[in-house]
Amino acid sequence: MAKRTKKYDIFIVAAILLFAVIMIFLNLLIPQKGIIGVKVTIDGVLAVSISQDGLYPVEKDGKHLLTVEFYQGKARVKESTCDNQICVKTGWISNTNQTIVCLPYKIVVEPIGGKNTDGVDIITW
Amino acid sequence: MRAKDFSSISKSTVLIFSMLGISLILLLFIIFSKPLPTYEKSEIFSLGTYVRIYIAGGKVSSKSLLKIAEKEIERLYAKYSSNIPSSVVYQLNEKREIECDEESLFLFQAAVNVSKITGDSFDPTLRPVLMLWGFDDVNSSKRVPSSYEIEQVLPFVSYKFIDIDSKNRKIKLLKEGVTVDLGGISKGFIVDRVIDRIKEIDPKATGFIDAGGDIGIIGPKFGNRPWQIGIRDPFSSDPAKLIDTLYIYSGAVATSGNYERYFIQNGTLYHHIIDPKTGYPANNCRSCTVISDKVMTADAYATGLFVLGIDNPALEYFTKFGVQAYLIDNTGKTVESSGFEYFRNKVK
Repeated sequence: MAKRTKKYDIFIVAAILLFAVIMIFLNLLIPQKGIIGVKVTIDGVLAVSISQDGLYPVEKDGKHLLTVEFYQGKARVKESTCDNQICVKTGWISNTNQTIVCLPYKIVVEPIGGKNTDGVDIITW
Repeated sequence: MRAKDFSSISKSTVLIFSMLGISLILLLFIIFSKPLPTYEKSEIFSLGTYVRIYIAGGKVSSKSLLKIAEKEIERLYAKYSSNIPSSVVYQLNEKREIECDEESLFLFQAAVNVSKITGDSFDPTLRPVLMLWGFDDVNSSKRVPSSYEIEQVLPFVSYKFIDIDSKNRKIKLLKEGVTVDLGGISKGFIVDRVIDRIKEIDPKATGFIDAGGDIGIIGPKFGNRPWQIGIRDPFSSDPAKLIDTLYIYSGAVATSGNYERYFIQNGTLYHHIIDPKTGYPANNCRSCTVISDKVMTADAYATGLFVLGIDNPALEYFTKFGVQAYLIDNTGKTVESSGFEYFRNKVK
């Protein structure tokens, strides 16, 4: 009886270990695809929610403001009609704690999903 | 045989007791462990920038605290913005002498104090020069003014033209043509006031307010961990590229950089951090990060120490005023005050 218990114990421990190893490998093997989409707001109001690759023009009151590009888990402002062009110069974002801000038009391009891969909570600039 | 039975019973008993023990520990853990606070965030365009508020309430709901913070930011911005007609600053520029409350007196006095301590490298009367360059507002058109234009307005730039009468609660501009803009200090002051307000309502609240890179900590992350704050690499156009990382439990961090607001004319970059003594952008620094206990202090000194530049022999002197600074120049050379290194360590 004692021997049998010991055999089962080893079997259970081995199964748990195998399960843990499989889970670790699965976590490592699943590629980090960046963010799953972005939402674009104008002064806090949602203008467009993007989850498919493509170019998305953003307008207000019939006036074209800028174009957001989403491509394979990263996003950027491709062009803008604003004066300072800081949103365009920001370039691609692919991390959940990054945003693109256009101050003159009060537009924010904010990531949806993804992981914080650079580790910091806030950036001082 | 007896021995074998005893061994078998003993094993089952041990197993049962072990499982009971583990269950009990788990049960106690579930009962007594506090769940991690849930952070709620809000983003608003205010204070002339993009403000992120990140709060977890201790006894008051996070959403209620967010609403209070947003309203308080808007109220104080309307009170101190130089572009809003009802503001204290606008009224002073128009009427030349005003009566005001204790809070406004404190802010004006703080601005004058920083000007004195930094040897006029920070100046709240810089507005006429900022207007010439178009740096008074994000939507103003930018241009390089002529040296004649700058010479014409420089005589109106000095904090010495602000007279503060604390006894009678009056502020007066002593010279015609002098105008005030508290933009270099009011953003930080407003963040401090909002944090004070949140802490009055909910002393256990944690989180931070990030007003365009000027950061005030409401309380440590999840109540006991430091916030990890990256310093932007001033040589990269990518705002997420970092040059250093700080670990802050409380207080404030602010950075002034020549990449924040600028324009390029004939291949030359002109940025918004103007030296009050020359009327031109200060060029002996690229980025200046200041850590202090208040955002107002960090905000104003980040500007003042940027203007003083990397070759400032008195950098250590400023630590007397609760300021730790880290400066990077255009060649990548860095200098820092003696206590700055402390904030790079995750474990204090």
